[in-house]
Amino acid sequence: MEQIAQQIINWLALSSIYALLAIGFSLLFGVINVIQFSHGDVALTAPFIAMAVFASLGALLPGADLVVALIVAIFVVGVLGIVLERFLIRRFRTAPPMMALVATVALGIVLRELIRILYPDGSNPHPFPQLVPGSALSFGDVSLSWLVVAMMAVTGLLVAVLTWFLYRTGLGLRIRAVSQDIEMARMLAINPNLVFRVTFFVASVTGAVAGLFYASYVGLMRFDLGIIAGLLGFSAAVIGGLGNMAGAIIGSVVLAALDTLVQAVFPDGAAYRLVVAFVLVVLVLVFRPAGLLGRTVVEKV
Amino acid sequence: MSINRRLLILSSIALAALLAGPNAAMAQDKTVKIGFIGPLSGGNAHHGLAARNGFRLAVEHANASDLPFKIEPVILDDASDPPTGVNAALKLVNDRDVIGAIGHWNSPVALATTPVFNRSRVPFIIWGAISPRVTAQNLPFVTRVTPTLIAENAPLAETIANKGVKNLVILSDTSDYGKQNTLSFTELFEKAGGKIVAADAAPVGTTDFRAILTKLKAANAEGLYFGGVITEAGVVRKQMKELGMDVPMYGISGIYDPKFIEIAGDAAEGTIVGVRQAQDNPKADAMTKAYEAKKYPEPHSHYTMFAYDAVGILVDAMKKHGIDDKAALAKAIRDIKYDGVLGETTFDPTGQTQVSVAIMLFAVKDGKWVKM
Amino acid sequence: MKADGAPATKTFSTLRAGTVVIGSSLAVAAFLWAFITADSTIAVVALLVLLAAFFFGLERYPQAEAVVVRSFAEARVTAAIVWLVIVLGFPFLFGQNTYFLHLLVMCLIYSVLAIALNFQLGSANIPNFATGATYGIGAYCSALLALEFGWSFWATLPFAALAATLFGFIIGLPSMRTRDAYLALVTIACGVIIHQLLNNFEWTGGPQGLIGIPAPTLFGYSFASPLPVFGYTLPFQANFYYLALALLALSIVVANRLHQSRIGLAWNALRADEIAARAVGINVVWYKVLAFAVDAFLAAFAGVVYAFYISYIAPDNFTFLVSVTLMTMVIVGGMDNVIGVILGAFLLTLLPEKLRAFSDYRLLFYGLVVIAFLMIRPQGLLPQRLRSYGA
Repeated sequence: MEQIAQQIINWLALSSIYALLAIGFSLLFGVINVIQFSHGDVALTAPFIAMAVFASLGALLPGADLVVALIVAIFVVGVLGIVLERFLIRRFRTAPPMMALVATVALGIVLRELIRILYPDGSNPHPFPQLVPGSALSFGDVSLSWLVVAMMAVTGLLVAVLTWFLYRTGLGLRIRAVSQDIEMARMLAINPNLVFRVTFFVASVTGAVAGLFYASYVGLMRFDLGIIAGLLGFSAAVIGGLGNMAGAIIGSVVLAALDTLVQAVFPDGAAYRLVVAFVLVVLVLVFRPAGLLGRTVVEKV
Repeated sequence: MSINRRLLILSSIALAALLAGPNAAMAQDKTVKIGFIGPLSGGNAHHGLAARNGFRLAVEHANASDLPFKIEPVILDDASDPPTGVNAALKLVNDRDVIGAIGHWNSPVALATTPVFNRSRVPFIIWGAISPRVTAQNLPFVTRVTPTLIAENAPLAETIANKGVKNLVILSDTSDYGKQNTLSFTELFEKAGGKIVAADAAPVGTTDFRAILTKLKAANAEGLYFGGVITEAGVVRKQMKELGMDVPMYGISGIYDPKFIEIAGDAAEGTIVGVRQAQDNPKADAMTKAYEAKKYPEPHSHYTMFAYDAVGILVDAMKKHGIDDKAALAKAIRDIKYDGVLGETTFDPTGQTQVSVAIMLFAVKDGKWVKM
Repeated sequence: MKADGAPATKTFSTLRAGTVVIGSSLAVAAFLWAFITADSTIAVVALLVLLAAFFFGLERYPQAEAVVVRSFAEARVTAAIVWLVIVLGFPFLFGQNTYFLHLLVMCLIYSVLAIALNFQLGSANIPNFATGATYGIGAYCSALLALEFGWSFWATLPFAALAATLFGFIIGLPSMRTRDAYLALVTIACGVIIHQLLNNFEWTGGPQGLIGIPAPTLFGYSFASPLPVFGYTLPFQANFYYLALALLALSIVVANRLHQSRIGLAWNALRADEIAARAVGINVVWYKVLAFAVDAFLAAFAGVVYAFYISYIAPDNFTFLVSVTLMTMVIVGGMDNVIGVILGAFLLTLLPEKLRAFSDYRLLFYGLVVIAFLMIRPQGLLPQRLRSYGA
């Protein structure tokens, strides 16, 4: 019983990390129609930027808080998203999908290698602090850390803010307009480039939060964590239905459940995590191509 | 389009200027080359770079000593990718000046390249790859200075059992190394009167062990044996503490490293490892000092020592048996009795290093590895 | 490939066509030889600049290209003889250097894979990120048959191809229901699943793979022994050079036959407009699945040759990154242009080797080069040509 309770906590914690990553993938695909395969790598630059800022802040103003470093890191990753959109992704928006895929896979390599080369001793893994220390609840053999509580709270808050932003603000309306019909949006004097920029900023910021939580949750940052984070976040987005925020969240919850279940039930199950995730991806794409929550797209001739 | 073209031309000029830079190293009278291959980019670069620095240091030390020839190091990347490794190996063996080489952290890469070295009759010493299959083939030109370390499990298992510990769980990685550790430790510990109540494995590179640890915790064992390597060990230890799994963690030299304590943080306390005695050695201390004086950007690891001694063994054999007959050189390497930073190295008939089995236990106390 | 810039005149003498064919073919061979053997970084950069200048010139003076194309059309027999001599004699240029020969063998194997992928990506515009997996299935299937049951290379070949083709059909089936980005995702997923399973299963040797795959033999002659030709001995790699060459020739023939057949036309129609293709009665699903099957068939052959050549395979040989590299080869070379695809395969196989001077920065530069290329010349070095009918 206690074991099951603990596994449920593990599942919810994973769900929130996957959800934050999947929302980014989903948003980018929905608006820009590009699969940003290096989104995981963009997200996982955040812990490195945070620690670099923290280290240099410490030299400048002693006693500077880690929180400042985290905020700076999240903002920098957002700007990185805008830069990538402007100089790279935009060119592939109208190209065949595999061009964008190949380009973003190459971009992932470049980002990882840049972290490895630029960060001091970047080839080696480094510890990453537990952002919110302490245990919130310890009941028998079940323990719930404040970090997990914070992760779920922040994820909930971010989702609420994003929903409000997309459905209750003018900019959000324009984003949805571009995502539905870019030509029509353009005719209504909506600047699609601004919309792309904002979307990339929002997706990268969400990714950065996910990256910081991910590093903190596993207690480690390593330059190549973006690969696995990207693959899992992306699977979650596909399972839920690309371009659909509620879908991204449901997809994450389903994926995290399977992920936890495989490891908790089967011996050596950890080796089959990706297999399970991607079998589910294939099944969803074949039988419900628009995802668990997606709407069917009618072909325009 | 024309701006792009200009950009292309400009960047190719810049590239040319960049490439022309590090193109030194002209021939001297009696210069021979020895090669290094390892993962210098990609996911395992930290192991490769630490070993590469050890290789460079050893070549510098060899050149500073009284040698009848001058050694030029050749350093190549295998990117943990078997085809890239084969390319690198062939590049080395086709250079007539290359007398011998050391290489590889990844066992799959080593398994792909060792036939190349053997066929081309170039002595090759492995500093990292630990799969038993590498030396099981017994290729005459291939030797390995990395102990497979399974021997370290015996005294550890006995000591733990003698302390009255009855039940343990095992967590390992899914590589050959992890599997071998699980098998040998289970056998030894159960022979010593203990019982393994649960075992699980995860691939190298896993970072979230909570689901597995939750399952293992339910087995209510008195400790956890970890049969993997440093990074995963640190993460596991940290997450054990978080899940309230207040039992000791045991391991062998695969996790005996300051990096483990750095990653695990406070949680590292109470970790016990069995390590062979020779790691306590004045030569090793001297090498560490020299390494630190060089201010390499990467910290040293035990792979630094393996690479350092691999070069030492190669150079020693070259000094005593000359560099012309490579078959004799390979044989000389196998017959060597070399006193280096790893202690005394000799090879068994398959070219595998023979470790002295005297094992010491170390534990983490106040953020340091302390002899027990 | 340095054709003189004279405009194509109507009086095109056979003699002149012959000269152009021989000259340009020898120039290509000489360039390849220089690029493979170039060791100093300056030489490599100089050759790359030369190549860039050549393609720059080609775009500037399209009539030069027309001269070459027309010359090859006029002097078909000369061209065939010249190229036969070049490809058969090429290994002799490298003497006993096994490194250069090995690079050449790898270039040929990757060319076959790139041509295989081109059936989908180039002809039918179906993104397939699972070619690395079909390559792996071919390699593993043949290696397992050889190691477990002692089958010979030649016996495993058809079975490996069959197994991979079946797999091709399986990953091709979802193309009935998905397309574009979604189909790309299905193939990515399949590629990752196969790689992970190869890693996890006991019987595939796990992460450490399969060792000791025996060299092929033909009438008692082992491919692992040096090749004697007219009293001259070539290293054993030459055997595999000729084997891979035969495979590449087969692939080119298959590619050309398919391109000129109804199937090739149907694929091109799919690429142009799937709905229109369906409207004129093309069985869209069948042709899509067929593209996957043909890809898998050829990729499996390449996998078998690789496995028996290196005598060792591991899951790491067949990662998602391999599929992406193959994709890049096709895009860089020029989609639906067999010569372009081969050029792309040669360039991207040799480039990482030539970037070794960068040491730790190798992977970074590789990524940057790929991105730069996709941005500057997305249509590829040799873009697709219009179909021409009649004389």
